[in-house]
Amino acid sequence: MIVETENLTKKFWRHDAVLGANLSVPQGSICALVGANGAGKTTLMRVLVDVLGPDEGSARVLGIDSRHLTPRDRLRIGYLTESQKLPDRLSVARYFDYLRALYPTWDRSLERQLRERFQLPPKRPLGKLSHGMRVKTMLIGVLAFRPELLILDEPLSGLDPLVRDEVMAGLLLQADETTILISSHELSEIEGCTTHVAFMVRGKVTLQESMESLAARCRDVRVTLVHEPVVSGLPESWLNPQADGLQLRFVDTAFVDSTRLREQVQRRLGAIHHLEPAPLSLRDISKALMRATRQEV
Amino acid sequence: MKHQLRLVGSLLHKDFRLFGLFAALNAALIIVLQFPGLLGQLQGLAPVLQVARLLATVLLILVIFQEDATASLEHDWLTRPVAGLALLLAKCAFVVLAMLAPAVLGAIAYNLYLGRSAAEAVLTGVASAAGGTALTFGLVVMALAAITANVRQTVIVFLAGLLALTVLVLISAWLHIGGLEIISTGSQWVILRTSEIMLGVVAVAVLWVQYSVRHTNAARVIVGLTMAAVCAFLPSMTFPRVFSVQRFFSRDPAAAASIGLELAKGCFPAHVLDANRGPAVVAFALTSGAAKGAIMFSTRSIPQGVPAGDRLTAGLVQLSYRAAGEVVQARPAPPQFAPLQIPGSGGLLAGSQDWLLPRGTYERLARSPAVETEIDYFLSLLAPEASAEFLADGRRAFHPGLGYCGATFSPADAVVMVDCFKWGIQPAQFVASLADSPASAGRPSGYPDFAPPALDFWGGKRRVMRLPAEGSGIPRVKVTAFAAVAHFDRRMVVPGVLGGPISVCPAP
Repeated sequence: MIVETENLTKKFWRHDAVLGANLSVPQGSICALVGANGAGKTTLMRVLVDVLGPDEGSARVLGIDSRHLTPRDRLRIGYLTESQKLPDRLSVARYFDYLRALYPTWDRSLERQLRERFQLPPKRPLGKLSHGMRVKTMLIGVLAFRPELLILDEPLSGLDPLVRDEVMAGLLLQADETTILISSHELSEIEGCTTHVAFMVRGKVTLQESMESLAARCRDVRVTLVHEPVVSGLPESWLNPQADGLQLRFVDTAFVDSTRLREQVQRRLGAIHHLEPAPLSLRDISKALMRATRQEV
Repeated sequence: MKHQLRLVGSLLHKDFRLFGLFAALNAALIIVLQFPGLLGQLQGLAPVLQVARLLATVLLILVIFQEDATASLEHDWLTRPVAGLALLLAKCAFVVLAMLAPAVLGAIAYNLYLGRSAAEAVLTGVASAAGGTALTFGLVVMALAAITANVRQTVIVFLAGLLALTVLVLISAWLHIGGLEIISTGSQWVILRTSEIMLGVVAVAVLWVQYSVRHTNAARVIVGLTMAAVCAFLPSMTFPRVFSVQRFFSRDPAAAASIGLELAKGCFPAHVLDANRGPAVVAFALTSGAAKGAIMFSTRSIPQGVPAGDRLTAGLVQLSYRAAGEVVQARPAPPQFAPLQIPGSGGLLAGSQDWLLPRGTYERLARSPAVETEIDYFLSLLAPEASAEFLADGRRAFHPGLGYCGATFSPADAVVMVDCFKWGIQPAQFVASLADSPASAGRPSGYPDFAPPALDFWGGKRRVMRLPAEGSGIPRVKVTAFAAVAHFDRRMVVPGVLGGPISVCPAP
């Protein structure tokens, strides 16, 4: 695992931002860290790059305790957050001049390629860039030294669809040689490239698995029953059940195949008129999980 | 190592690109302010420029340090391959190049312009622009910048510090250890120099914590505890306690064993305070609660056994009354704030102090038959350790133990100005006199400073003495450096309120 946390806890006064989080990110994966606002994603990422120290538990990045990351280790880690404070009065070109001197592994041709693709104005001060241009600049700043691990905290937030596509395309240029941990609310944008997903709820990682496995076991199920259903005592893996007359809709998170699902529904709710299990997008799975969590509260 | 240096260079380069213009303007201001002659022509603008320079320097340090703030969670450098200490080194290098170097170079240029030797110009330049106080000030601002993420936070911390300091000064004034009082005693180093060194050490500790392990809370706790310690410690340092510390550093306490002090015989000369005594005294009397009608009296002390050539100084003299278990402290009149200086010449010369006593207090004390007056003298014995004689012809030369000295004679003003600059360990006091007229009284170089030599590890001091001189020939001057040999106290007790029983020495 390139990133591994064990019972990681970080508190701010009495507020538990991260509470015993266990996260594992396999090498070479693109892992989406998903969760509602305030779930603890940003804090967890800050602990991973040692901007914050953990109160309890540990975080290992590239096999090293995050508290002991040295400047040499940072040559292998790229971190981007939308709230990053840049030297605003420096021009784009000067900013890259400055970064180039920090990284012996800086790839000038990649920098040039990305700058051309993103069409950044070289003489404009960073403080006068639009939000989209700023994110693109930051992205070049973390891609051009070819890090082994990229940690991206909400890189797509506030970007228009066109810029989002450009940023994602830039990101994918390096996806095959980098492990990426990305948090984003723009799940439809990152779904196509995500290999793994981890859900955070109130400071805890409640679920993490490969995208393939998650997509395979989650289905949006619509059932038409013969008799009106009683929506209680249903399996825990059936999330957010909604009944409307003879119709029942829920998200099955333990789907194996249609036959087995049909048997399960019949056993619980009686005769079925019609059953239709449809695949879910990452966005829909995420929404279902968040909604289910809210209902638990 | 090479990579780290390259990194420091890169950070420095970035900062100069960001703040080069601001730094250049600040440097220009710093250099201009090193030329007092030029400032003289600017007249009213000079104080404005001084304030502007101070603000610009503080602001530049803040923005340089907070450009890559350590107390932040969002600054770009935090996740870059930059070691905290390399960053600190780059920031310090910026401060040295953009602020310290122009100040030192400006001061050197000014001293060369005045015709001083290169060696003296360099030492004076370093002492005036990069002396202990300047460095401590810089370190404190850096530490403040290191524990805050932006100028707004810094202003809040600064205002909180200022508030604490104001409370401290008020408490100190209430306890009669106000700055003015202590600065003239020679013992000011116990509070001022140690505070300066302590602040410097704390600032370095804060910078180390922030840039080495980046623990903002720990750094802020250090600052908070220091403020609390200072607030708790300083008000408790009454003059007798300050003097006890100083006494501990006496070079030869036994030298004071044979020195005695006697009060002039008879009742204390006393009169009723009235407007004719000068507005300053009356104003002081009124503010101190001694309204019109208060008694103003003098005490005169005669030293005994002061070795010839030595000097005796009284840092502070306290007069109090003891009557029926009550202790009443008399307020010294304004002249008392000047230190009492007695050249050792067999006790022929004496020093006197003036005191104020409200009429009501006198009457209350006079009713007590057992009232006694206690006068405490906190004294220091100074012995000459180096001296030199030279013509007041304007030429400067280096004299061992005195440093670089020169004197100029102005027949029109009938005055000789003596000027000495010494780097490193400082004598307690310089005294200048006319070598060819032994009867002329020596003129000391302002207030003494009894700081132990260990505290003079960095910096230098310039002393100027003004001697009255008549005639047209160029006089010869003698400059002597005195070192403190012993610090000791003497107490004298006399019956009554004004130098004898009430029946013998009544109030006027």
